Amino acid sequence: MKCVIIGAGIAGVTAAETIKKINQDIDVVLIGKEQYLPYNRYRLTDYLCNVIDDTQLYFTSFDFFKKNNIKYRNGEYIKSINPAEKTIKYYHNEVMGYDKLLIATGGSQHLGPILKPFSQYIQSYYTLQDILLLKKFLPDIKHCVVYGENLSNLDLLAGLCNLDKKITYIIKGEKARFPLLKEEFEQDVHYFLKNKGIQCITNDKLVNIKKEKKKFTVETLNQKIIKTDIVFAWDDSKPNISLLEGTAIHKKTGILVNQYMETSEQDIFAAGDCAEIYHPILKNYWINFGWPNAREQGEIAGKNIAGEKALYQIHETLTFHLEGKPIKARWWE
Amino acid sequence: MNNQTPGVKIEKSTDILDRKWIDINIPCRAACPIMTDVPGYIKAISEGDYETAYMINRQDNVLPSILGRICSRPCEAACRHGWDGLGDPLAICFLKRSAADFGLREFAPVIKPNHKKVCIIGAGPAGLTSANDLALKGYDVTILEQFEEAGGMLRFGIPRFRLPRDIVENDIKSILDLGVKIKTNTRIESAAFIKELQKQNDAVILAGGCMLPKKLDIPGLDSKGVTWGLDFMMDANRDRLLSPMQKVVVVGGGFTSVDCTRMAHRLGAKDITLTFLFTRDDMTVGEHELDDMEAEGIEFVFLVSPAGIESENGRVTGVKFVRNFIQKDKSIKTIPGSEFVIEADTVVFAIGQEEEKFLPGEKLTAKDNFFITGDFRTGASTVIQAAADGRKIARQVHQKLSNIKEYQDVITITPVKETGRVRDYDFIPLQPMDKIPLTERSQKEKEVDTGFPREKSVSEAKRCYLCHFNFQIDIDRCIYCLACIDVMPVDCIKMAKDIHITDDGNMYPVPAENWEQVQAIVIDNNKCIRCGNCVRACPVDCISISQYTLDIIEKI
Repeated sequence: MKCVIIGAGIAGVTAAETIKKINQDIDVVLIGKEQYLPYNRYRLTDYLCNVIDDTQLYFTSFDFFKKNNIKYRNGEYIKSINPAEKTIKYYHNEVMGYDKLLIATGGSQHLGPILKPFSQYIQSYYTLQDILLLKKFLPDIKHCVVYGENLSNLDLLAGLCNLDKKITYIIKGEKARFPLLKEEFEQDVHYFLKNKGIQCITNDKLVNIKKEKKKFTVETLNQKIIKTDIVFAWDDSKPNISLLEGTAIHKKTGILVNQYMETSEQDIFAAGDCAEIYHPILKNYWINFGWPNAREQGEIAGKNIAGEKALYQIHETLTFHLEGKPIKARWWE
Repeated sequence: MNNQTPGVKIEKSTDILDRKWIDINIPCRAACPIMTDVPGYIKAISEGDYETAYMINRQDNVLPSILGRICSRPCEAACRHGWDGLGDPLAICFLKRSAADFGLREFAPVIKPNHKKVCIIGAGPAGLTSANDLALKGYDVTILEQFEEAGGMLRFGIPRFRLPRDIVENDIKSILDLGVKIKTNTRIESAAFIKELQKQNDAVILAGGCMLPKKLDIPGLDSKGVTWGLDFMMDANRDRLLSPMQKVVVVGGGFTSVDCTRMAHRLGAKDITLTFLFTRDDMTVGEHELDDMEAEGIEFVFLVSPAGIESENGRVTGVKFVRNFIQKDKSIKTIPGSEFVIEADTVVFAIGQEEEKFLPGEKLTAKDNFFITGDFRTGASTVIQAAADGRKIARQVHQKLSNIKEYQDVITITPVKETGRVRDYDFIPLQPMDKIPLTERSQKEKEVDTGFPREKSVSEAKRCYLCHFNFQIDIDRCIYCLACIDVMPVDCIKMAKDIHITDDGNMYPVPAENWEQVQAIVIDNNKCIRCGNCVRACPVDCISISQYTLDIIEKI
């Protein structure tokens, strides 16, 4: 049996390892979009701030793939799936067959319709490639504009603060709202940001970015004009599911799966930040973004692909895992 | 530009294979319900000839300024430029608008009256298209319109920030200038009245549209603040929506539901939510409109069904929803215990429209010279589908009232020296539409899309592959040097051992496995992106280009 895993993040790698542990005879091909070995995405800010070095960044090695007999194809992008023929198509048009497929493509920062036209002026902050670039030119950067309220923004703000950058943070609402559950906690974060010397512009939106020589001019909906050296801006995190286009695989924001991590299409599974599942306590569909969940879902998908019957236990209460550590301990201490 | 090869004759073909070549190889034209000559007018724009581009549209789809704004764009979904590995489809709709923005001129063909009278009930897109086509054939056409002005959904159902009123008026005027008469404030709602009209006219066409909102049965619908999509739009368009709104919930997944949310934004609502039974992919609305919605801060909630209206003292306070689950067969099922409430002071149900039921029990048919067209006949559709149906029925009327035996498709095949395209055009990026800033989106009259300036429209037009050109290799003259294969940018030229013609008329080369088997070198027009590299590379000039255009003629 040949199992193809698209996505070499923690969900994909855990699934590959799990499959091989159960049955060495299953051929496993792991396909990663990035050119590096799989790394700890949640430690990128630490790496940027020189808290860790690159040896601590990677959680796998070439030996790991060799020992487990997993074929790792890095730097390869899959553009489409054909469930009827059980094939996937690479960006360079190579077609590969599979018996079982796991989609573990994760999520990434998403620019909405207002920001999209300015994408060339926006510095992304998501991949190791971004961090390596930033490491080169951040020393010359004095002032940064940050816009967006998902957890990667909080991570970024923390990193920039630690590097003593001057920051203007534009917030849509009255206070910085990160996807945190407890309201008091949310307020703590907001005041904490202010106490750290971050200039917060509230009740406003970033609507325009212009580039003049090496500087950027940012304009807000309330017509505030800010001159800056770099702009970090995105609207939200979204699952990377463009490869599903043209297939009948059920999707909402992410790929809809059941508790076996099975999609609506036979022999196709999904796990991690790209998978969406109905949560009976929340009474809503739910993408449990984050590292521990991706690892757990990857393991369950791996078991089911290898022929075991493992059930993903939907957590009774929504516990907010920020990479397994409390926010303050991780970034500010 | 006279681009025709000297000494080569233009061919007129009625061969079914040539007709099918158009359907297979010009995907935009084939996808357009009214078969607009898309490559024809885009080529004119690329040459800066907006007047020709406008006239092609004026003849083919009758309402160019309107459709250049609000067409549902089936052509763009089919565009070859958007196929796997070829980039983004062309902004065909915006180019149509450019043709009208810069090429609008009087449409005044010579009309020979035939002294026959046709009455059309309803001045929406279907009725207007039928009127246009019949007036051009010499009929004395009168349209009866129930509202105070002509346009139907174009005027009352679509908001002005997408379709300004002067644009609607211009396109309607162009039809009325052909001699079409219109009687407004004239409502027909009984079979007796239709029979009366039949006596006075040679034919009657009912183009009444779908003006009744589809309703659903959930508790609390009689609460104050609950309304129906089309009623909401019509009241807003007539400035009759007076009560202030803060929290608006719109239920539906079509054009009207999106228009309602964006209108609510302009009417001052702060929290606007669009809810839909299925997912974003299942919405019938184009991605560009969903982007506009998102930019205006409207929230989406997918996979939910309305279960009841919450109210206090008879006034709506919220909508109770239940989450849906997609079943294997793509149908939805509600999830028990998943109920939740979204707060609202205004709730709009925009879940579709249907036709008014006033037709007589004894069926009137074409035999009685009575015809039905547009949404009234087909059920709620799009403006371009309604216009296409208006044309179809106008042809039936004309056939019935004249001595035409049938209509016939004639394909004109014109040999040309070159297409005017160069390979560089394939690398021009999709030109985005400029929009008014978000700060101005509270004005409900102000059009959001500002239109392409001339330079942008020419750049966008140059991106078009011009799929109406057919490239062929003359095997008798080919020296099999393979120069064309060396320069082909996609896998479009094949060495073949045989050529099969499929049932649908496409040429299918059977690939040769070795050099000995090669019987021909063939261009696969379905893969060809009309870059012209092969023509320029051929040392013996054995690759010919011919332009395919389609006309429909009347056979007597």
